[in-house]
Amino acid sequence: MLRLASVRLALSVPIMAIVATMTYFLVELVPGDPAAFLLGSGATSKQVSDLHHELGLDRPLIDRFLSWFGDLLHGDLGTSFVTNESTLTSLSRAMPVTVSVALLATIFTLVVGVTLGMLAAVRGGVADAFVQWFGSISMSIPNFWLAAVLVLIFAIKVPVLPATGYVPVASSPTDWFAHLILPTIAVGLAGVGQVAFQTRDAVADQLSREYVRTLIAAGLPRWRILGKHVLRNASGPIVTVASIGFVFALGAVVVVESIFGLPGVGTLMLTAVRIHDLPLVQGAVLMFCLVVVVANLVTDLIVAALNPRVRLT
Amino acid sequence: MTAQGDAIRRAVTRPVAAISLGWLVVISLACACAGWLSPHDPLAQDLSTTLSGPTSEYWLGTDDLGRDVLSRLLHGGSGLLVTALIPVGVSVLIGVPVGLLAGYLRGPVDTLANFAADVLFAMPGLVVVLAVAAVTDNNITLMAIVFGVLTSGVTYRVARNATAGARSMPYVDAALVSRLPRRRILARHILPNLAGPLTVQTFIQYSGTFLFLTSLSFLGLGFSPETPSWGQLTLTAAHNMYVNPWMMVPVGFALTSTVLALNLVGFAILRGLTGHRRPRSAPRPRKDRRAAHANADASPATRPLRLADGDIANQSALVIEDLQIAFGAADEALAVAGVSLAVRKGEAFGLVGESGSGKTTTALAVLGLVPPPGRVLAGQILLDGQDLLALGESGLREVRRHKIGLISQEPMVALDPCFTVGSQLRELLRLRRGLSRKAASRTARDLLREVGLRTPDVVATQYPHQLSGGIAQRVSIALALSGEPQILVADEPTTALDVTVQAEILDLLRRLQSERSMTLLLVSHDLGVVADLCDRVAVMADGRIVEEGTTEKVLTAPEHAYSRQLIQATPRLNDSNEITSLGRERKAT
Repeated sequence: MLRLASVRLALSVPIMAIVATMTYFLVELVPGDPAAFLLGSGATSKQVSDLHHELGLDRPLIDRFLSWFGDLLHGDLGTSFVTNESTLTSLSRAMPVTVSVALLATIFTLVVGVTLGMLAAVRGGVADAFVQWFGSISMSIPNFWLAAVLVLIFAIKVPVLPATGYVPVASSPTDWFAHLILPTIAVGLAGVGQVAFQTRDAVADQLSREYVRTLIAAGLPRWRILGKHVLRNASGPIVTVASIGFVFALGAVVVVESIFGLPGVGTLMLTAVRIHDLPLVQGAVLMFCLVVVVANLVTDLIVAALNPRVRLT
Repeated sequence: MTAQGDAIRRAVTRPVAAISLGWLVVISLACACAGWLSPHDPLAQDLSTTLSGPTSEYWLGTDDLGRDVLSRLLHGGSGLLVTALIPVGVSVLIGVPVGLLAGYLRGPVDTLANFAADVLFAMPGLVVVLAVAAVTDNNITLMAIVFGVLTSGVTYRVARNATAGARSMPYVDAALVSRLPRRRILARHILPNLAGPLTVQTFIQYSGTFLFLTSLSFLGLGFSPETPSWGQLTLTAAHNMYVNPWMMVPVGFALTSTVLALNLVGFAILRGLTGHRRPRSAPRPRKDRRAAHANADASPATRPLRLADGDIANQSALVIEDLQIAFGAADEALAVAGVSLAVRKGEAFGLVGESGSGKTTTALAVLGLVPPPGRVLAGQILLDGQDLLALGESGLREVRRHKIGLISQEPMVALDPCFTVGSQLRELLRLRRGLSRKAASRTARDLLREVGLRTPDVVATQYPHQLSGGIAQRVSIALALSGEPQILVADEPTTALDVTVQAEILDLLRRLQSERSMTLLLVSHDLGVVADLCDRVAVMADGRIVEEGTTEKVLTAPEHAYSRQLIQATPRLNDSNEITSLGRERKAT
């Protein structure tokens, strides 16, 4: 287990380095001049070249890349073109908001999806058909539309939940949670179908295995066989699908943040995109990649922890 | 129930795919002919009727500037539907060739390509595309291309796995050996295998890409604010929903129905390709009395024992009377067609016959474990005078816990692969004997020692896949003993084992039976095993018992022709009393 963890961790380092490099060159090499964007269409070429110099854009590309990468290794993601605030400071304020919604949404997806998938596999028939339909429809509803409808229903028509805004978990955990319920559902519902289908197939497959018969023959209660043994054996593909769902959820949070007035990376980034604040955009992309790499690492470890045959011995 | 569920699903799926495809055609045509179909100019403002509901003038109402929602919807789809083709195309252009090469050549190319895919998987699409939007000032084509590159990792995986799968097929080996040119092998033998998975992948990816682009348009990115698009329409609707929530309805319907139709068609193709697995419930005992009556004439029971008088019942651990089990339709031949037998307390009773004779089904019925779709039509199974077929789920569970132990044919798959031997044994001990955690550990070790394992502490920490077949079967026996059963049902307990191990396991069973004075019901196709272990034996053929008696009598002086055939098929048994096996049928009835 420890060996697996270190192997995976070692593999994450080059991936992260390559991702960082790609992020840099993606922003640098795609045609477009940030100085021209910043100054607007009325700028003279003198103004543009002055700003180039000021932002260091007149240095050779490799030179700029190396110093950017060097700073990165020191944890310096650069400074915003516009606000002059350290990118890392802005991001570390916004990142927890986005990641916590994505995490809650993934948990929501797992709980609902696994429950429905088990139901479909065990009951079959009408329950199975219901889960097929529910899953297919839930993954077809655009999250931003659902977000707006949820706000309309649960915050305006039947005001049981706060419509918008965010409370840090440190100041009030209950308020924090209350503010994140609607975003969690809006983001998490799309993944329910995938998880439910995966669970259904994996559980149906496990139920035909002989060890299940051994356990029934030993007089183990049904819920215990399903909840402990079958689910554990079926967990691998379910966890993998949920982790893909988490990556999707990160993107979905970015989209719906504005609807719920959440001060997350999405809000930050969309502003940065509109005003062409490249260091902030670069930093945000990098942060997201880091979160995804860590999530993939954690997924591998969870799968290995749940299944002894995956563990390296 | 399952048959019904099947019928429901079949009814639901087939027309659904057709309707979905039809809907996609309607949507595409409507969007393509928007200029012609629209009742109004999508940009024409009518400030006298802003945010109205449906009217005869504006069928789907108007937006905040009094523009016709229907016309804007019609005009707002084509941009998204067409642009979504770009990322899918890019992803196929990159993913398929690379996947073909990696899956075919393997080695370093494969490793490198997999690593590249891992890198792509580490980059969340939306966020990267936002960065592209920032540097290209919202150039939707470039954004779509970059998104296509990012998602090519998924297409690559699909193409690579399909290629690798086809590559390992025997006919590809044959083609390689016969020195066919590589290009021809790829084109003729491997590419066709990619078509199915890639079609599904392309469909599902297109639907995801479409949804992704609408998100961008909702965020006001990529699509010009002058021309309407569905994402933007949602934004307008959301902004004004406090005043008039109506507009959310047509917009949401257009979006959801399109994506749903795409997904449903994708799933339908997937299902057609893989053959959808029907979920099967865990076996549940069910006795269908009505069906039994309908069947009574068709199944003349072979000389049922008269067990009604308590005499035999009192001396017997297990009595089966006129048991009938069917797998197929009511008019099909019964798998177990009126079996009656009595197993005395403390004896070893053998049930022999070839595969398909109904012997395993009969034995499993004692535990209420007739595998679906099998069902008990009629009969009685009396354990200590208690009719097991009349018990409900919880009563049956009690019997399984405390009275019967089951030993299966293949010990490796009979154990839960995710838990250690010790953990499985302790769980059953705590449940069946109500032991504390500590006592369960101690008893588990004693049991493992009792079944002949010299290092019980080591075995207890091992997982099933770390055990040899013989050790796994000893563990299975220990699990079966955890409930201190009066009767042990052993279904071909040695068939899957090596010959030397077989003898050991038989010795163990004999020892356990006498030490614990248990009753043993042994199912086997192997007369040698039965001769070695059993006091009495019943021979089964075609779901009936054709002969029954002491082992000595049945094996040396068989009355029935079928018994004689069975014995003659075991050549060495007549020469000496050596334990032999009648060929290795793995699958018993």
